[in-house]
Amino acid sequence: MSQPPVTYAELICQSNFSFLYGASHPQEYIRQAYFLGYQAIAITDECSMAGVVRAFTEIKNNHIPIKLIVGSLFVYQGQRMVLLCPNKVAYAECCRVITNARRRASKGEYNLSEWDLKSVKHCLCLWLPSGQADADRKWAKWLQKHFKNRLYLAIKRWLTANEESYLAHCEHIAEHYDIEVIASSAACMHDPSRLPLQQCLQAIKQGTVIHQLGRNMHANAESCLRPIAKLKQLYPSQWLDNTVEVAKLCTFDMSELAYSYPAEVVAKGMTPSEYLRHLVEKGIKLRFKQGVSQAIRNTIEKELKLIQEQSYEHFFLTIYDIVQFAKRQNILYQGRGSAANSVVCYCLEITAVDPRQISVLFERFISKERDEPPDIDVDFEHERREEVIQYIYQKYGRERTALAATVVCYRFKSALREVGKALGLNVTDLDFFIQNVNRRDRTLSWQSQLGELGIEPESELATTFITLVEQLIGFPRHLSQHVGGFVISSGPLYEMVPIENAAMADRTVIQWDKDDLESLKLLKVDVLALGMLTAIRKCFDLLKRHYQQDCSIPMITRLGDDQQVYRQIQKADTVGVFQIESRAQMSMLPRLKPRCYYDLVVQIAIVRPGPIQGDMVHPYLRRRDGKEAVSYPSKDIEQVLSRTMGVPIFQEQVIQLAMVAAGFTGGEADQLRRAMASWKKNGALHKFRSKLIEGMTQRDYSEAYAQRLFEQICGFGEYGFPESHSASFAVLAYVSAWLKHYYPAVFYTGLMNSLPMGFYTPSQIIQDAKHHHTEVLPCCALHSHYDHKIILEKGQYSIRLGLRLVKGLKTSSAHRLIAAREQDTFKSMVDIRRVELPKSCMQALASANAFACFTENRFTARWDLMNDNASLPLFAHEASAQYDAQYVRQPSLFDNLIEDYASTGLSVKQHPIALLQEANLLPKFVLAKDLINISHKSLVSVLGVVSCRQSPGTAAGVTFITLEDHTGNSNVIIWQGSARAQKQAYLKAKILQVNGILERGDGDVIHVIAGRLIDQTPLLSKLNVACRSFR
Amino acid sequence: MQFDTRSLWIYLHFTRLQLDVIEHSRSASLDTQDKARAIYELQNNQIVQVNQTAHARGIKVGMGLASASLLYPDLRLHEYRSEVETNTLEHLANALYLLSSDIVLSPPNGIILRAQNMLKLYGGLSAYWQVISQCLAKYGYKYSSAAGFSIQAVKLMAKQGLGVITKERNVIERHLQQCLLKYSEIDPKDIEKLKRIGISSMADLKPIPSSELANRLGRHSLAVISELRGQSAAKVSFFKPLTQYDDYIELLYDISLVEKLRPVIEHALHKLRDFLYVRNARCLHINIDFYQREHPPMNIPFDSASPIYQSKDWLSLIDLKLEQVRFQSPVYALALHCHDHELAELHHDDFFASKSTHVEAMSLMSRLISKLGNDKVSGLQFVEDFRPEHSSVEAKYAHTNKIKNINSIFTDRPGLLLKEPKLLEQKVQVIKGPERIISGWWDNAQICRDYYIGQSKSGQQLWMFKNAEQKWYLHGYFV
Repeated sequence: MSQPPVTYAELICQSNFSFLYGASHPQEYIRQAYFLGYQAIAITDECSMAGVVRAFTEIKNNHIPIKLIVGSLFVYQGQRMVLLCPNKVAYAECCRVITNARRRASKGEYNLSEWDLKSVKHCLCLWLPSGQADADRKWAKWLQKHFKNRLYLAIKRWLTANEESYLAHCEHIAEHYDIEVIASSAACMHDPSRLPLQQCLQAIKQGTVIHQLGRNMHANAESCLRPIAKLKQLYPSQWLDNTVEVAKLCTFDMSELAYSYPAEVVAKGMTPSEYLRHLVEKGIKLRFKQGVSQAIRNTIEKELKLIQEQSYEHFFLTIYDIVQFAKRQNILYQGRGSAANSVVCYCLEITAVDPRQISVLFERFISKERDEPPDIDVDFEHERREEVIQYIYQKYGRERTALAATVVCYRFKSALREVGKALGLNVTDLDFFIQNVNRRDRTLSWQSQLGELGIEPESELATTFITLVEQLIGFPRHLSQHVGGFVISSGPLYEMVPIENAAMADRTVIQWDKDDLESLKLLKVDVLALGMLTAIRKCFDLLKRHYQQDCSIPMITRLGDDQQVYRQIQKADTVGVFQIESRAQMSMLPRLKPRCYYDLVVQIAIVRPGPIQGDMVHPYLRRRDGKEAVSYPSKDIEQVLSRTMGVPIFQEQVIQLAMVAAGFTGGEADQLRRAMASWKKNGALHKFRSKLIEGMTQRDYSEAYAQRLFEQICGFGEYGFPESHSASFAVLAYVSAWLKHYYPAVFYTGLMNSLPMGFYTPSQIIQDAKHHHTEVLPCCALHSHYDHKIILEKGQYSIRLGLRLVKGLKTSSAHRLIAAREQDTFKSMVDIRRVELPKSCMQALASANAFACFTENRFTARWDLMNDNASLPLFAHEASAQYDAQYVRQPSLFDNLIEDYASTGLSVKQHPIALLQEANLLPKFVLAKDLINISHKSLVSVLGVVSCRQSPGTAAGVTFITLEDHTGNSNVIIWQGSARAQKQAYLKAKILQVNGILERGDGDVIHVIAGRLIDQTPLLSKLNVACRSFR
Repeated sequence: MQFDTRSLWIYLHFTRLQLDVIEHSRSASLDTQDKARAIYELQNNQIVQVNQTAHARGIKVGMGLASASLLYPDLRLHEYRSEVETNTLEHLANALYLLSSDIVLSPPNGIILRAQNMLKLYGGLSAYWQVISQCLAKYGYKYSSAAGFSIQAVKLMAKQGLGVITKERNVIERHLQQCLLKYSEIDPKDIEKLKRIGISSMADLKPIPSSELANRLGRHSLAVISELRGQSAAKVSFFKPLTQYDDYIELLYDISLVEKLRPVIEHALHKLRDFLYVRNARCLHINIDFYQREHPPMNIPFDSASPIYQSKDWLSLIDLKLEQVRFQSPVYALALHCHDHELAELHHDDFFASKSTHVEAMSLMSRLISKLGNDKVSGLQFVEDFRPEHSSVEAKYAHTNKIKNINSIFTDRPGLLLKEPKLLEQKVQVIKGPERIISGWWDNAQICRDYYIGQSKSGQQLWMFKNAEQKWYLHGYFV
């Protein structure tokens, strides 16, 4: 009679979520365990559940017939024990234990207590004795008492020295205390080949080099998943059978975790569905005052039905609750994401995107087929988001609310540095490699580039080094907090997922990231911060105060597409305008010439690395200008791509294409979307290649077309921009452009009061304001407020710069000065001195020339303030404290310029180029305002302050430099060759002269293609001399 | 000691001392001298010294590492070490001490000479300066100099490169007025304060009376300004020649072969010879530290049976000893120390005595010591490594360490380990095992073995292993 086959379940595995110990991904364990024919596998990371969802997703997506057991390993007083979760109650218990242990310690640590173990009533305990006879006897007794028949003794055989005595010791204890024995490999890697990586991790953890680890590492690779045949030789078959018996007890499945929504978002006496409908109806009356059209009514009904079918009511109601809070507090917000672009969201006041203008978008609301969770991100004013976060914590309580985690992974640089250090390579060499490997070089892999940088590619060290770096890339390093993704539940959250401390005080994060949440179909609410919303709200406040005009985002969008505003946008006059202010966006605007809202949606999405790398920009422009015919290989594709003239521009289109053209199921398309989001990190996208190409060729598309589509998807990668987000951003872009066009002074003031944000410095914004004939007045101790403000002078609004600009002036001091001024007008410096501001603040104000109203100049003001005696009370009250400035010279124009920049970062009165020109120090050149008169392809020389130097990764070595003079900006393009040949001027010049050729592109975009670069920075010191002798 | 404000001082400011030291060491052959090279200060992440080639490539003092390597990726960098400069200053002062009596060191890169009391001896400033500059020329280190009547003033002028060697007060004053305060020793905070009111040079500062400055600047700054204006004099302590000799030489490139190091050692010995010569001294014992790139420095003592000072004598001794030396990793610097020396005695050899050379003067003993080492007693040092071959190394007895946890490490390990495993050629019975060892992939001595304890027919317990090719080897005996 043949013996029954031996079965086995590995009950202790630490994945790479046991940071710097586990050397395999959870997914790798699953595949390997299945390959080896295990009955089940447990993922038991150290005091963590962070890896289990990955394992669960791997099984679910690939339909792998293996049982996943959930558990966690703990080390307490030198003893190692694993808690396994046989059922959901035990799972909640385990999560609670982890949460308690984690919350007691600082970020990344844990601190288990005896009480935690005592309180475990449902989990199974696998105990790995330490080998210390006395301690083990004590623990055997203790564990036996508390766990009774839920206790097992796990014996690992790693073929180490003296193992026989350890085995005998364990067996003795098991027998003496009557504990069932199970076999285990206590794995920390899925395959023996990971041993070098595991040892490397060990060295990284201990901060040493690998050859100095000595015996503090694994002696061999036995701590991996081993073939059952081998296990059979190592363990008695009873111990192996016991593992399967334990596995059978574990019936908990991650899919049992159902999210229970907070009940308080639903009004009493109503079902969630009824309440949502009630709110939507209320919203219809608010949003559609003239009544709702049948078409929109139909859409609303369709959406509500879908929401009900998918049971997403709570999600919408939670967000409704949050935005209503923001509305009450007068905090500006804007929703975005696929679900946000629904009429329901418009009615719930989550977004301001008016469906009558852009009905085309509403086709693409959440769909059952795509099987995506609803996606709504809400942006709030960046200065006030914390109020919203505090509201959430307060309303739902800290037990029920936590931030989602972000898994910070090893990227190329960190992996190279850490592996290099562990192998004992010189740190300066590693820095050299990191600085000199160009990751944007698509022709040469980093592996080959290392060869060029001096590593012998064939040498054994280099091969090991490269392999280890490759393996480490994508390994999780630690958990960090998500920018604003909240998870809110009806009961304590720690029963569903462990919670740990974040680095920030009073912030807690769950151990899962957004992908994990999506896999388990748990919903998170994104509460994000956006600077432009702050700026817009400040503009609205100013409009109300100075123009008595009540403005809101919906009010402006309801006015419809204003062609005057679009004309300004088409001229690329968009400094400070949301999303379309970068150099790349600006150079596209005159070519794309946005004429309506949807053009802006395209504009925002098209100038992205995704569409640029996927080569979609030029075909789109050609087709839009009618220079290229628009054709579609099939009706299905036409449906997806017709709104963007047959060119995929948005991320959603790519996903839809995969579904309609290659037959991807909803679930597969969702996986594709996720792979796209992180393919640079882990290269997961390539496994979809053959599926996509085969799918498309089967549906009669040409292989070349399929191939091109796949390349476009790769190009899109993580940079593809979703239409649903672009649509919401376009609203803000339009609103900010509208403000800039009609109320420039208000716009610049609101914008500058919200800095830091966006692309431009205050200096650049002031220059732009001046070009728009808005007068800017300098900081003044008598007139400036803390913020910049608008003042009406001679029937015109000007901007008075605020004290917030003064470097070195404390906010509290500025407010004290203003408060004192309001009580009693300052008549002289003596009055100001009475406020008793700190000396450094007074000096800062003097340097910013804020005392110009009372002192001759900033030098004399500072000289006077430097005098320690003058600040003594006796002197301070003497009205005769006059300024004896005989020893101090008058500042020259140049001195003033330098001081302006040093104290406020900008100069209202002078521009260096204007000064240089007046001093006759400049060679012949063309001012920015005069470039328009120069013909195409003619030689030209431009000169200015380098205000922006960008070399986007998508532009293959091209650098865009913006040169600023007092009349505007000149745009220079430098090819890689020119830059390399003239490195010094290219890298170091503050004032740059460029001799080159003027080119006019589509839409009359003017660029100067650089030939010779001349560093004219030394002119500044000449200017210093010139200014002084002039004086 | 404090001097009045009539003393004439000269300041020598060595602008790129460490770089010069490196480039003038004997390892610098012609082809490497024109390589772009810079000294880099790690702490502040800035380049502190550049050679001409680097300068031509746009590398400037004060630049960060990233911009420097972006401008010129092939730039050779050496880490800044103030002790190299201070050390060199002392050597220079030793040499100058023969020519000028009052010397003040201003580490890390300045030397102050009191010229006043030498003028009579040399018959004027130009004669004195000629002698001094000739002495400095031998070293080839770049410096700027200035003469003046206050130490702060000469320092300022020399640092800005505006100095002249003269004792004409009006000429000195004219140069001083052009100097920028940022090169002075005024507290940087006060320099910034003055800059913000438009005062950045000595000329700008001139009209302001000290009484006005007194309420506005710190005490240190006021003292410096007072010295700069010649209103007060500095307190100084003069250099006293060294009694011990220490030298540090950084190599231009890493060297692993002993013979390649010979010229550098010779250069170092020449310097030692000069040191001893002027003191009429000889020594019995010197030490050389070889700084290895990846390992701790290797210290080798050299002894002579009789006192010697000539570089060639020391070199022949060193040659003998270095024959046996193998560096673990390339050497990037070496340091020579001689802490004891004695006055040379006069020897009266008559014509008829047998020819006495230095080589012969050395006894056989010193040759043997040199050849065989100080203590031939060596022992085994335990190393924490799973690989049996690597778990002990031979080392000087004095250096072997004591092992903790001896029980845990040596249970199941044989008392006698064979130097090389040999094929197992007898029948044995396996008693215990396996102990699997897979280790050592990082240093090309990887092993992959299953160790067993076995018993031979005679009852001898053996330590043996099976390798990946399934071959059995004997590796040790249990006693």
